[in-house]
Amino acid sequence: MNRPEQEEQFLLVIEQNKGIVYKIANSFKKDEDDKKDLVQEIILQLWRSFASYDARSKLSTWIYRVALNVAIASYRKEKRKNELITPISESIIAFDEEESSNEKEDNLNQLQQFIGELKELDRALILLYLEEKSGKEMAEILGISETNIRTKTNRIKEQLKQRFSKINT
Amino acid sequence: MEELDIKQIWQAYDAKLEKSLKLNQKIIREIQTQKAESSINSFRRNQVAGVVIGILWVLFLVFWTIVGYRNIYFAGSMGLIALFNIFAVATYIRHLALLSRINITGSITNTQQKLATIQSSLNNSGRIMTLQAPLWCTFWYNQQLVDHGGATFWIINLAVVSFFVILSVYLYNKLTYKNIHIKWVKAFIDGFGGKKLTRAMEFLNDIEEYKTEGVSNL
Repeated sequence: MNRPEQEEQFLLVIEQNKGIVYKIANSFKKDEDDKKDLVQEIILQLWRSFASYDARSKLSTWIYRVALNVAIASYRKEKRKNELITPISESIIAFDEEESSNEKEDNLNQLQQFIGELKELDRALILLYLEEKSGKEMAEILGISETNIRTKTNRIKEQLKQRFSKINT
Repeated sequence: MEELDIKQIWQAYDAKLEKSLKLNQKIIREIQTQKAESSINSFRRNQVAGVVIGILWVLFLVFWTIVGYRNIYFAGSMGLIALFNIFAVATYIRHLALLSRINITGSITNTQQKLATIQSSLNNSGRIMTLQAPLWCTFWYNQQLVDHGGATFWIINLAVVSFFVILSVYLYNKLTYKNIHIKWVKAFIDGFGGKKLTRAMEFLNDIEEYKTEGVSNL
């Protein structure tokens, strides 16, 4: 594949998976500018490793690995310090936030708040669970055994259920 | 709320994103033409700055070792201090080399473990530096002092040097990421290396626990 073809192919991949990048950035950063920076960093790292992507493994596994690795590494930084040499004013991925007060929206906010309170690795795990990844793929992405995945997922699900039942009582 | 309901909330969110997320292709084109720089590069620059400062410090120590070669106590102490510092800088450089081999497409626990190890490498250099403490108590000795110091001088000095030997070895053993849960260890490293360092060390601990949890169920 020549360079222009590769660039077009990459654009297509990002277009099809922009939701993953946005959801991960949204789960790891609260501040809007931090989110914007994280999205840029994830896409930059995806582009850099795009040429070495091995088509034998699932595309989604590759995207989740890169995006979560970048997000977790950036999460440990204390605060935004204009780290990007080329700061951008526009967002790569723009999202029209609509104010809504219905029950579904409240539940989503609660769920996002719960995710935001988890430790980095648990946060990655619950995101993969909510994305309905199989135990095998989750194990491949996180680098732990499927048994370990099951134990941890059950623990977090239990916490989540308790959280929602408290709200609803 | 049941598991299914939680997944439905997420799916509704997904559908909403699918409808309203817009990709700015212009910025992606800029990324593809290398107009944007990675924050990993800025982290690497900080590490390189650390190495440069370390090398300058070592050169300063070597300079004084050479200048003071006539006083064996001064040259010996300074020379050993320089050696500890060379070792600490070498440890730091080794971790810097590891950074260039990080595979961001690797599994989360492995990649994060490597990244956190590199980020906490400053601590390993710091631990090595603690071992030089007793030598800062001997560099001012000279032949005349050693020959005519007398019993009181030696009792006091041996006590001070012994105290620093014990303290530095104790700190060297204690100041590891495995002990980061101990309050004073965390406070001590916070004081010297900042919160970023202790956070990386705590994360290393978390990853190890994360990997081993559930293993007993296998």
